[in-house]
Amino acid sequence: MRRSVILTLLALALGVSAARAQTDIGIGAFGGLSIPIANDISTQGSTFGVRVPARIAPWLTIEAFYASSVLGDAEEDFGGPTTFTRDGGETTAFGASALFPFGGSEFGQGLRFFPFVGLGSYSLKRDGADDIDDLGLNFGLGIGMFVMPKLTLDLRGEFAAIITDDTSQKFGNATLGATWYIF
Amino acid sequence: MKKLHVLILGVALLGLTGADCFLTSAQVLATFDLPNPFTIPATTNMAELEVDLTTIDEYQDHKDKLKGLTDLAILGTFTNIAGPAGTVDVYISADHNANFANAAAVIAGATKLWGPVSIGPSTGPGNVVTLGWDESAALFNSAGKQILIDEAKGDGHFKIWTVGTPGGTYNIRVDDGFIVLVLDAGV
Repeated sequence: MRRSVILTLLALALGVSAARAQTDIGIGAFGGLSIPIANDISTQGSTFGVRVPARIAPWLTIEAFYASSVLGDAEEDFGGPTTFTRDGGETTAFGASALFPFGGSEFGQGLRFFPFVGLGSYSLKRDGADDIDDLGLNFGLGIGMFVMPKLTLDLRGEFAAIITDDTSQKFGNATLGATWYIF
Repeated sequence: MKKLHVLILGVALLGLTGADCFLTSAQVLATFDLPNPFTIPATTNMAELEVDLTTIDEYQDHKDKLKGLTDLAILGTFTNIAGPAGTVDVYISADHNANFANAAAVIAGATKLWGPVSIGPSTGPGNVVTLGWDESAALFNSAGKQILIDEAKGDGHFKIWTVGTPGGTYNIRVDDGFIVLVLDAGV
């Protein structure tokens, strides 16, 4: 249900943006670190994924994303002679973010900052545990610039949370991405 | 435009600082030490263990804001001292005053929590088993797990029984046994 709602919103956002004149649409890839926050059974891991940004106004970009993370295992001896290892888990997510760029003289020039906020469908799998499939949110701040016509590089700091009833599993992500604007 | 950015920042901060916000939570590891060692004797083919989670500091620290359990495991080294190959299961009762005379009564009157763990014959290979954390986490029975979650959110005081293969005659020693709980709690 949540997945279909997110897909519908995503399709609407991309459809609206594609229908507008002077819409810039790109495709990009990113990778970086994923760090569990306040979580004793996962440690720092890696994250990577793809993004499809659609710039629908100078101040607004809607961006679809797919992300996958592999978290590090936890190790504990509990005061005994044996060290035990718990699978840190893997997450996948897809959804959409709204980016609010500012700075730079115009699109394609200068350094631009962009706070962003998004929603997604998240899945967390860990060996020997029930899968968690829930709605998640993310927000953060990015900085980007064109390194050549149509190609941008950006650096982002992101907070992401998988909402599980009245609690959540949280991650801090630091990623480096590259996006090629095709239209 | 500045107004929009300020509005976004304001909403984000409001969400983060809200009372009992889902974001202000943590997954906290807590461990209950089982008696070291304890034995599943041949006479009853079961060992009774009373568990009081309030003796765990991490549990006490988070009990008031406990939302549930994210992860569970029972860890330890199982050694078959005397007997053929068999299995070990763990049963649970929310009533910490419950008493059963033998393994058959436990199986009939309590709820299966965890298992089975296979163990080799005392004289052969596989007579000493140390399960991995991931393997152990996968052995929970959903009905027993729910009782444990309810107890963790309740008074934290319950009873468990380790049981050898029904009908078998064993002497199984458990060394360095722990119940590992990952608390999902507000901070």
